[in-house]
Amino acid sequence: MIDSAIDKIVEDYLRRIRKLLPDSFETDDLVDDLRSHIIDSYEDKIGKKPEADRVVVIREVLEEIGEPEEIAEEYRLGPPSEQALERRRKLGTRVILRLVAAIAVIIIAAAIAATITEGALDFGLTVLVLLIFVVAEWFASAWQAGEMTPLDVIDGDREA
Amino acid sequence: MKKKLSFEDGWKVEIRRGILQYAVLAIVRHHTQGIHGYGIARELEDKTDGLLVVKEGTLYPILHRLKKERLLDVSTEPSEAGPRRKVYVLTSEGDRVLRALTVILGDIFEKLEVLRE
Repeated sequence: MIDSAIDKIVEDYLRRIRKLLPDSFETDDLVDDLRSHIIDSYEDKIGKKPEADRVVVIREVLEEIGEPEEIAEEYRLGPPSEQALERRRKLGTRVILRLVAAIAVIIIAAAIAATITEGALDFGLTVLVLLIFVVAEWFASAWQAGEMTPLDVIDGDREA
Repeated sequence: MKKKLSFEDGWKVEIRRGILQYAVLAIVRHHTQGIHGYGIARELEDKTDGLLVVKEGTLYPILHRLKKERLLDVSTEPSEAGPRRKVYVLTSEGDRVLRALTVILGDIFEKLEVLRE
């Protein structure tokens, strides 16, 4: 039976792998398989050496399984699934729509500001300032949530 | 900093991947009731002295790929350690592909032997 300290080490390791892979059913399946393998290997080793330090044994098991980066690399070497390609296409479309909507809102807001202040606020400068704020906020929130930005869409097109 | 692989180590990595898929199909074929991932890793280790699998975790993306290609199928069996666990079985298409690959590999080794003479 796996105790909570060992379980934490295993779950931390699996979380590192999950972070490197797309959020999908396939990843869940892969992580479940790796968890079963870790438990089997751990139980096997403990069965052979019951007096061994549990933490040392689990570290040995994870060492044999490999670094999360190595597993993610092998996963990426396979052809991308149709679902993954479709998801990327949809996400790219959403990013472009959001970009168009943001530019439209900025232009309208700058026009209203210029009208209300009777030209005291320069239209071009207001557009520029609002654009900087929107882009900065977008990149910051996308980075925090791990979402796609316009730069990723451009990179994706280059890869394709 | 990542150490650069020697030419022969890099070559081994390249050739290993294709051979590993063949070896996995061959192992699964011997287990008509199915075999779990850990069992495949153990057999690979025991029968090839660890030549094919450097890190056991890299076996699973390969198993998933073979499953996606419908060469392997999955069922579950009870496990002493916890919940039911997944076992892999060879499909009829997997059996056909394994036979075809065996012929291809035989041809490759035969031709290589000629080159070595």
